[in-house]
Amino acid sequence: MNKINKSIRKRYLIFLASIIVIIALMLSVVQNSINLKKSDAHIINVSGKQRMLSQRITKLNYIIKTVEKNDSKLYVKELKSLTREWEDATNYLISINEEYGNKTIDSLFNIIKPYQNKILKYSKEIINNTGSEQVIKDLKALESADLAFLTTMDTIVNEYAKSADKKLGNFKTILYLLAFIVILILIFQFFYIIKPVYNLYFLKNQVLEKTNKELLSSQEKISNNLKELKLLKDKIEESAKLGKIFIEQAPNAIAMFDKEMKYIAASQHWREDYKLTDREIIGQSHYDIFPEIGDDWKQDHKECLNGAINKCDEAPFKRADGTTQWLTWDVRPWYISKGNIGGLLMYTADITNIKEKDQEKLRIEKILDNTNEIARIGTWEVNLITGEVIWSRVTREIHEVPKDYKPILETAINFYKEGESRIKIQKAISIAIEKGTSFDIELKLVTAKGNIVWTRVIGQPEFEDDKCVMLYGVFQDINEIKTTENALNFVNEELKAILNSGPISIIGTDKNGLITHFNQGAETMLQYSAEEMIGLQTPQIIHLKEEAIERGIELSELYGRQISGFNIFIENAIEGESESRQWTYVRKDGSKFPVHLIITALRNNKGEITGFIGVGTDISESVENQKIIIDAKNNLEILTEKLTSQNSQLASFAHITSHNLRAPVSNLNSLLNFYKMSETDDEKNLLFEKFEKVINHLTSTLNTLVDAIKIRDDSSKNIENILFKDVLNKTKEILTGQIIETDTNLFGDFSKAPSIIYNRTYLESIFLNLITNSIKYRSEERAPKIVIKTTINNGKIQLSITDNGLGIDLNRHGHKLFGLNKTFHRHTEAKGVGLYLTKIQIESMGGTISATSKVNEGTTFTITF
Amino acid sequence: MKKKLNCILLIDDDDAINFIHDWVINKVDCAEKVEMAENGIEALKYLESTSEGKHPQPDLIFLDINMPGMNGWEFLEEYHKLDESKKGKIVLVMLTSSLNPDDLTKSKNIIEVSGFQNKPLTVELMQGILKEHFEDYL
Repeated sequence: MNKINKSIRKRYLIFLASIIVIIALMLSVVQNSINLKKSDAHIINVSGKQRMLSQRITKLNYIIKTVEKNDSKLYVKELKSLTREWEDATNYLISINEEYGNKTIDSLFNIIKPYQNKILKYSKEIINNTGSEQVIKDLKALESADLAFLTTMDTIVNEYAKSADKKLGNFKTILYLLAFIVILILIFQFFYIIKPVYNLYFLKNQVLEKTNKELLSSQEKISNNLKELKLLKDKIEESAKLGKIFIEQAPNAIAMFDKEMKYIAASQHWREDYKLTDREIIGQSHYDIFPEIGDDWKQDHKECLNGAINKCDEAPFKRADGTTQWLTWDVRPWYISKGNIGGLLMYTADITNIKEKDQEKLRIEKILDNTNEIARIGTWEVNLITGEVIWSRVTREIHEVPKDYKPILETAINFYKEGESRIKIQKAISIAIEKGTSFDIELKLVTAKGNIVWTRVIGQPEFEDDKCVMLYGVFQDINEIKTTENALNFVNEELKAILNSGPISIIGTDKNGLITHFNQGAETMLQYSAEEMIGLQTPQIIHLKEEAIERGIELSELYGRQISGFNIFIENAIEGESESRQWTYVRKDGSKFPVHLIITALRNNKGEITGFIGVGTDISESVENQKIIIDAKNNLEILTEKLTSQNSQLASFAHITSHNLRAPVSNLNSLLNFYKMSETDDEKNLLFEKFEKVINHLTSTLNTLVDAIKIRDDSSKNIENILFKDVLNKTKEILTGQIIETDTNLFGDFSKAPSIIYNRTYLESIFLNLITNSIKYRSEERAPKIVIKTTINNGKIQLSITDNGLGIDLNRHGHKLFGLNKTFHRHTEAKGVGLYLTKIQIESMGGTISATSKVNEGTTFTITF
Repeated sequence: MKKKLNCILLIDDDDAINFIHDWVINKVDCAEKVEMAENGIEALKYLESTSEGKHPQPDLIFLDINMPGMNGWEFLEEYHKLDESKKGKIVLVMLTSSLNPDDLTKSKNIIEVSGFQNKPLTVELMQGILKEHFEDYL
């Protein structure tokens, strides 16, 4: 359309331009012709004027001739100007004609010229010579000349007129020509511009009309479509609603997403499967709800959004909470219209349960398979209607038949060894079929390769309408078990024979002590029969009770827990390999004899104790000799202990002695040096005082030491029976002052052991030292209370002195409690000799002293005499 | 003019030893003041006392091990807990004539103890101590 417009516009411009050109051209032609006509008329006028002028000049000449000379002067003047005008006009015409180029007029002018000149000459003569004779003469000539001039001039005028006419004709011709050209152009333009434009517009119009019509019809169509669309929309809305309902109420997990993976709808099942029931998910992004969704799944979704369909039968979905869900799914796009994807439809099913069951089943099957393999258990079944027999792999292997072996009932039974085994199986099968009794029997089988194996066959009949239709069961290779069992039986018998031979008592028990085995040796030795013992008694019946109790105490101390009853015999055996020691057995008649008994714990292969076995040998003879040796040994040990103790006491004594004596002695040395160096008497006196002090100290130390040494010497002398009460009373007397002063309460309780055979001096010293000690270290917060008590422990008299004083931190000071010169209290009276002496005295009499104490609660000294 | 130690503290229950040590210190003439304590408790009391707002902080302490009341080791335990402002500068443990090697080992493990000396001190020993610990004062 533009193109056409463009060309038309071009043509139209050309059309306008040409019309302007034509108009301009015509205007110029007209102008030109007007100009031409003007000049022609002028020339004709001038020519006509020439005629008039010549006539007037002639007339004037005439007048002048005729009039008086005086009057003529005015005429001459007029003649003069006319002549000049005439001459100018003539010259003008001649010059014009030169331009004009008309030859006829040229020749006419040539003709006219002499006449004009004659007139002019004559006129001039008149002007110059007025009244001359000559003039009259010439007048005639002038008349003739003028006539000739007039005639010729007429011709010229005619000629001019003719020429102008001719020009006019030419002009007309040109005008016609131009008009023709204009018409031509107009025609041409009509065809060249207007026609096509017209055509164009006509066509256009037609097209427009058509379009209009079409528009109208399409409008109608549109309105129709709109109606349909509305219907469709309603339908779609309805179906969308249904779709949503369908999705939401679908009996499986299904969800609908838009392209951004936001939920449009989700079934209740979906919400339950993914535990989303308590939150709103519609409009939310799937990935926000399941941040655990990995990039691989996101990629899958992307592909589905591009038209792919993603299906999976099972895959684990690791949830953010650590659990694993097994899922099956079908993800596919849904379409708004053909090729236009609106989002995803996701169908999933939580198959975790099924999967777990599947896996469980697989596992169990595998375990069963393995078990079967290991236990050599196969299965079999006989369809009694079809006669078909099915053997499992292991069953076939036990029969040593090829893998593709197809058994039938008769041949299957023929594998059992002829005789007992075959009869047994036939009987069992027939009873099972008739009565529905299942069976479990051990049979000998001859394999396809001729090997004889022991098998266990378990069978179970299946009934339908009171008729046995099937027998099935398991089939186990028990050859090894059977062989082992036989071997075991043999060994057992062998062992029995060994155990029963010889004078050795072998008694076996279960882990609780109940006798399970009592061999002939034991029967002989202990006079009990196996029947009396097995399953009824524990070995406690044949042991000396006191011995067992004593041993029990020993073991209890050793292990730090109560050990009694049967455990006394087995404790060491449980802990170690076996225990070997001497015991006293008591026969049924009450007589005793010593045995050397080895007790061993029996363990199964897991190391668990299953029982115990005691092997006893009578050592009556050897025991007597041993006793003597042991006594001697014990005496020696006691002696050694005594000597060692004395030795260590001596060492300690030596150490203390050196310590206690060395200090004052070196002090004395120093003082002596000073004394030697001292210059003044004052100094000497001062030093002398010091000497005295040091020497006194040394003396007292020496005395203490001498006391201690004395104790060692006469410990065993002067032994007498002493009442504790008497000793306490004497001590009270000695300490009366202190007791009153400190308000001390003394309690004596000697009811358990009122007296002792002991060295009196020592005992008095012990009482004095310990009670003094208690008073010394009394607590300032309470009145001293001292309890003195005797008891008998293990047949030995014990004396305890308990106070409620300051107490001693035994952890800190326990090791030096009884050392010499060691005191433990920030107390001025503490010198630390008393406890040392007490200890020496007690130990020299073979006793011991110990202390228990709690800081700020009190101390108890316990003396075992 | 040589400098003198401000104060020396003697801790020993043996009166004679304290006398001897005092005598030796006087002979060497190295201290303005000699203080004596009969046991750890007395010594601690002295260290914690103040005169003109200051603790005595002796330059040198001689400590006996074997003492009634509070012995040397117990004293060192308490001494360890004292403020730095109450501690002395140098503590020397006086090893008695007991020659017990355990005591030596034990004292080496106590940071407050700077050294050991045998009892009793002599003028030579005292000079040696000054040379070792108080070079400026000789």
